[in-house]
Amino acid sequence: MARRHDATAPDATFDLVGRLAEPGVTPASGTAVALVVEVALSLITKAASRSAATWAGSGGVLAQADNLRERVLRSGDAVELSYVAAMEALAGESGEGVLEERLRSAVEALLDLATQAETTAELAAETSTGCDPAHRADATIAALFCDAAVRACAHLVELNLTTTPDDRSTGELRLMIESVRASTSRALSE
Amino acid sequence: MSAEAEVVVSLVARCRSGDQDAWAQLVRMYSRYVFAICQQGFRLSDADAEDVFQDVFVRVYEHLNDIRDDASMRAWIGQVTRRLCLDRLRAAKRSPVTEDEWEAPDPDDALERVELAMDVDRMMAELSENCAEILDRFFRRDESYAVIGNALSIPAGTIASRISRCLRRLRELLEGRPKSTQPSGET
Repeated sequence: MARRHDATAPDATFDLVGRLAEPGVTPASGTAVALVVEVALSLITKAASRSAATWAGSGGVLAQADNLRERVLRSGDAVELSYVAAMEALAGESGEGVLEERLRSAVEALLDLATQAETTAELAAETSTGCDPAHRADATIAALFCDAAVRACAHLVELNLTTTPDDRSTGELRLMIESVRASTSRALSE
Repeated sequence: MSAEAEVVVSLVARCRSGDQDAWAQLVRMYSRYVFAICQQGFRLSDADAEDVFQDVFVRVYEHLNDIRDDASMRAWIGQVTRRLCLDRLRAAKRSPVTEDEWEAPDPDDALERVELAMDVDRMMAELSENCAEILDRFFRRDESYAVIGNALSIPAGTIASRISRCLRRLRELLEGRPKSTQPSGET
């Protein structure tokens, strides 16, 4: 059987940043946020792995970062797909009930991504506390990226909520913003 | 059905009817996920990850008509990818290649991960209830630190370090080493 996917692999995997600039509907902001959290996880991995000789907790951090990376990939895809579905509904191909449901799905996907960013920020703070001080900056920057990611998710949720009023999501996000701010402060104070 | 599932089901249906664009979109959608499992999860080299990537999507293409639940495509692709990564690591263990042929990952590290995955059920039972629950919630149920903290009445800011300690204990059990001094009582 011919391998029909040869042309897509390098593009999809290594050129996401380039594709973000293209005029298509996706990838868009939500995907960019997921990418930022992935970058944060890579920085955490770098700081932890370079501290392995002096920090007993480095292996645990690496395992947690691996797990979170898979969650973020999953979450980023869900954000992108739910956005496409919402845009299709907005274009008038579905009824109002479907539109509301798809916007709700888009919000849920963003909440999940924000949750992963919040958890990653805490892992960054933990790494900043325990890692070799020579590599602390990587962990601190990771926390700052996550701070930005949670705020970005909150903004995107606000945009979606213009047609589906729901205080629960904004309340959850407010708590996440506070939580990630505390993690970032901890990382910065080391 | 979630919006993601709806899109996937629609894509798979188009793939089955021979729509090349749909196939390209499906591969693009899951390619980063597959590479992440290969490279981050199993530490395969770029060349091995590329081979596994090819094999995964050949298998997906060949079995498109056999998939019972299209909405579960991601889970199925993840499962296929992990299995092929394990095969690749086992093959590497049986037939070591030269440096010219293969940019080898650290075999100890990679195989340790595989063995950990295979033995984890047995070893989890030997951990303390607290440790087993924290690891189960984080690694199997994909819960956040905040959710774990709320459920177990533990500050969320301490979960990451507790997980690390529990993993160290798990590693000790796997390696059959004597129990070390535990500072937190998590074991």
